[in-house]
Amino acid sequence: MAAGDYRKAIYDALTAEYGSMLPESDEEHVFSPAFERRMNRLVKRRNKSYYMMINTAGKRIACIAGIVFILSFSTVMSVSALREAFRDLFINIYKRFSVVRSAEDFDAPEKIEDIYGITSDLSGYDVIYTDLDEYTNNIIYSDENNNVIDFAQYVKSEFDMGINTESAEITHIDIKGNEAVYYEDNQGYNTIIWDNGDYIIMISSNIDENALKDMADSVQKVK
Amino acid sequence: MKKIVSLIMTIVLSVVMTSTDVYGLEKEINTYYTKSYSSTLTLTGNSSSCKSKLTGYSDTTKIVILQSLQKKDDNGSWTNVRTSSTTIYYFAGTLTNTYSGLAKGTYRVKSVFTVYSGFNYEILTKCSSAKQI
Repeated sequence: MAAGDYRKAIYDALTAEYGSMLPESDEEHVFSPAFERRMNRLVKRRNKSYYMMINTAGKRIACIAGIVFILSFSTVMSVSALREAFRDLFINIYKRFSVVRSAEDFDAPEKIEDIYGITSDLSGYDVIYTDLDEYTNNIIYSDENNNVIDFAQYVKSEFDMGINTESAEITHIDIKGNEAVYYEDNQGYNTIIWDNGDYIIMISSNIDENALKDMADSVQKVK
Repeated sequence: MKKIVSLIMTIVLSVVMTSTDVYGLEKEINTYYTKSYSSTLTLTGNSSSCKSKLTGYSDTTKIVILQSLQKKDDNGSWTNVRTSSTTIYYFAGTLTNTYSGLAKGTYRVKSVFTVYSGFNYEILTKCSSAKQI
């Protein structure tokens, strides 16, 4: 007798006998609600398109780690374009440069009406560059020791300046009651920028920080 | 599936490792010759004044400024309507141009600065805010 036929003969002979040995069941088995809920959840989860990506503990851990990495990466990226608001100035901080703009001020002069300048002692310094027009008053001084003082006055509406802030820490200081932006750049120049109410004043130099602050404090209307 | 997850993890890790270099864990200095720069547009009637200004450091030897007055077209792209350039053999300088008879539209000034110290140079680009005639 072939093996298949032999197996069928045993099945036919014994199944009925075994069936008669089983106790009669009056009612169908009812699973507990908790078991039913668990099974429904399992079926539902299995129907999800991403089930194969999360069906083992290892895969779930890998996914969570990936999400954490992506989130931390997004945070690092956002540092490259921080936006800092001073009272009258907005600064977009990028890796190499920052862009500083004046807040809108409809009462500020549209063109330069009053000339501002440094009134502290500048003996020993020569003017090495000037740029004066309706919107800008920029004078750069230098002495024989290559100390440079760059003074500039800008009309607020036209002040939109890229500044070298690479590796610089931007802080706030007070210049005659005005909140000023202060930083030291990667070439050793200190810069102070503030809104004096009518204009944006920017002064930068490779001289000592305190000497520059004193110079900034001396800025006033000269014409 | 495990291979796909491994591949995704590898890509994520590679990107993160690369980004630490780009976003500042290493203090590599890239800016040497430029202290400040600006690009401004002022409009009066149908005339414009375009100004590109850059101030460098004492090591700065030459500034090349390429200035373009650009108009926004119907597709939202910027098209050059006037261009001008200059070379300044100094650590600071400006390029100013005035144009009249401009058609109605939205304009901006794009300034590309190439700043030299000897044979070394850095390139910076700055666009003014857009203004309407």
